Amino acid sequence: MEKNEYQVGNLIFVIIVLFLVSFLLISIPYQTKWFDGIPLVKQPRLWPTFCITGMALFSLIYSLQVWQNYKIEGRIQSELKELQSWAKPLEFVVYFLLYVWLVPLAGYLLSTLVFFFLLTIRQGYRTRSMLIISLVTAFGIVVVFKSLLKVKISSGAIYEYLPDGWSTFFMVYF
Amino acid sequence: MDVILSSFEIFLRWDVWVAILIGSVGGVIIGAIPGVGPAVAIAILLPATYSMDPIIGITVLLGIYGSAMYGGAIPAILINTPGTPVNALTTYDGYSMTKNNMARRAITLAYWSSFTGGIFSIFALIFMTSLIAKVAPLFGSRDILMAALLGLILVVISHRKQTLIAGFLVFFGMFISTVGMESVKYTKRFTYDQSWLLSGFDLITVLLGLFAVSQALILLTGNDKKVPMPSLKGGKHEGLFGLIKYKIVAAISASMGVIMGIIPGVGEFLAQFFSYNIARSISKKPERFGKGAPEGIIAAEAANNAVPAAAMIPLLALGIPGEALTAMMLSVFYVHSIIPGPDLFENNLDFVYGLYESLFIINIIVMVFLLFATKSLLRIIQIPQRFLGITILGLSFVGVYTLRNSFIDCIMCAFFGILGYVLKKLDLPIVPIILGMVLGNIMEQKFRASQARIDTIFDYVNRPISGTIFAIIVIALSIHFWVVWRQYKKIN
Repeated sequence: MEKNEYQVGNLIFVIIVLFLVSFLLISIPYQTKWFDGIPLVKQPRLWPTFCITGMALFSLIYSLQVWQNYKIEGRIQSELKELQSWAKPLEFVVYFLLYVWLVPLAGYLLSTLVFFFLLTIRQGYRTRSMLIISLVTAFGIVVVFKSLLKVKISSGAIYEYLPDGWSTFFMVYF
Repeated sequence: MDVILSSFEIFLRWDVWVAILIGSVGGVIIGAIPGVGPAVAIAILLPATYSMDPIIGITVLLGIYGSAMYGGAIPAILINTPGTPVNALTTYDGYSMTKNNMARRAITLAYWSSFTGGIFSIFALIFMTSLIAKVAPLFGSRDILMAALLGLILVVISHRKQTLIAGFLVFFGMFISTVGMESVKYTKRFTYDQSWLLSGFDLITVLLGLFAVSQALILLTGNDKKVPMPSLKGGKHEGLFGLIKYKIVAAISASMGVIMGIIPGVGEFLAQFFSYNIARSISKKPERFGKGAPEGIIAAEAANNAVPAAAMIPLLALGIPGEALTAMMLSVFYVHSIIPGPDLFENNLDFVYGLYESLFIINIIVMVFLLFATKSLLRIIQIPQRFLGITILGLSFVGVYTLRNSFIDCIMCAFFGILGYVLKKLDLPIVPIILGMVLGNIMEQKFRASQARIDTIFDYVNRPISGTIFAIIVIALSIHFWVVWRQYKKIN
């Protein structure tokens, strides 16, 4: 038996899901190819169609169930409030993408230090000890991954302005 | 004998030991921090392991996988917050014991039970290897197709009370694995003329978004909690005596963990659920369960720690991951051109034995580490949650950016992060998406590969193995619908 208690936000979620599934269903003829004369199992269209049909079937029954539960317990105001709360993390996603954008320019070390420092302040940790912990953590991550494990992260454009020896050192290790 | 000696040669390398140490101790620490968990850690570390020797990379990840649940029991017992989701059942009896001033006893009981489960499953794995080595080469395309289908069906029906949404998410995962250029006629599928969609959705990008970024967002938008620390009084071996007293519960639970671990798509939750219920039904004092019964801790911890080694069986033998963590490990195998499946047991048996030996040592190191370092680990539990969020977000960058240094990958990862955030807020499962993505891809390949031998639809199930798996599918579905029908009748 499925969950009977209604979880706020489920109605908005199923509406989004139904839109997505409808959009994908409509897209099938335009976004996949059908070749005459080759067997069904080799048709590029077959597998995505199977997946989208499965999505449609399950989402439809799930939506009916959510609607039944919503009619008993749900309120539109709570739904809209929940939708608003989903937007809350977007701020941090923007910071994350700014950080990604900054790395090829300012280098991994500097970008990570700035990212950790600013985000620590943004989260309300203003004590000196917390800020030092934050910077040490950032530095530790860079040392472990870039300097020791040598993961592939593009070096910063800023390093080209450093003196020759330093420039190579920073490009390789930070 | 040569194979075993050769496996020792791999296992005794110093870098393998460093990997074992980092993986096992790191796994315990990660497990002890509520809000991180092995899935987040493995997702972040995956790309870093690609440049390592395969045995090193897999050992680090295996160490985290096998030891995180040991650490997860600490906050579950002391502060009623499971370190990893699978330690949730441990809170029932563990935290009750803490409230009754028996924290040390509960913790050591959890350690010894976890150790029993871990070691038992490794012996089961070693014992079954010869059998697996004989059976695995018999698996053809149709058999693997059926096994993958069984995995997907079990993932859906094991999400009790959420089967409909789990079904949708499995198909969604399968769908996103089809996006991009397909490999038969080289046509584009669902790319909407966007060049960045041509290569499809990378599994690691999706994994990092759904597990790591979403968890970071949950922590960043939440509040820090003050954690009061209970005192740990008593001997280190109190739990061992408790375990000896309830050895039958430990044996049953470890066996249940092994059985459930082998079955793709089932995993720790059902293993614990069954063993906990069995332990309660054979207990002389079933009323104590949930109020501080030692058997409750033994059942939960022995069962969930028996799963990791057992879950390696379908992965190694058939290339079919049973849950999200083994799905992540599968990608490490592929990167190093070690293809799990029947051939692995024929051509790389020393590698397989090397993994078993590493798993064995991981359990011993973790046990020794925990017996002496529990008090120091208590400080880790007190790391502020929002600061943890910043760290996970910073680490997620390493995971996704190192794949191709692509900004687009990071945007995709952020998108799946928001999706994971919404699913977690709605208390909906994430694992079906990952298994749908991995198993869906396997199914499409095997479905096409098996066509040469297919005349009618019955040819899919007329082989002994595929027929047996199909029978298991039918039985599993019948039981599921019977349970649903019975509950429906009960309510109405």
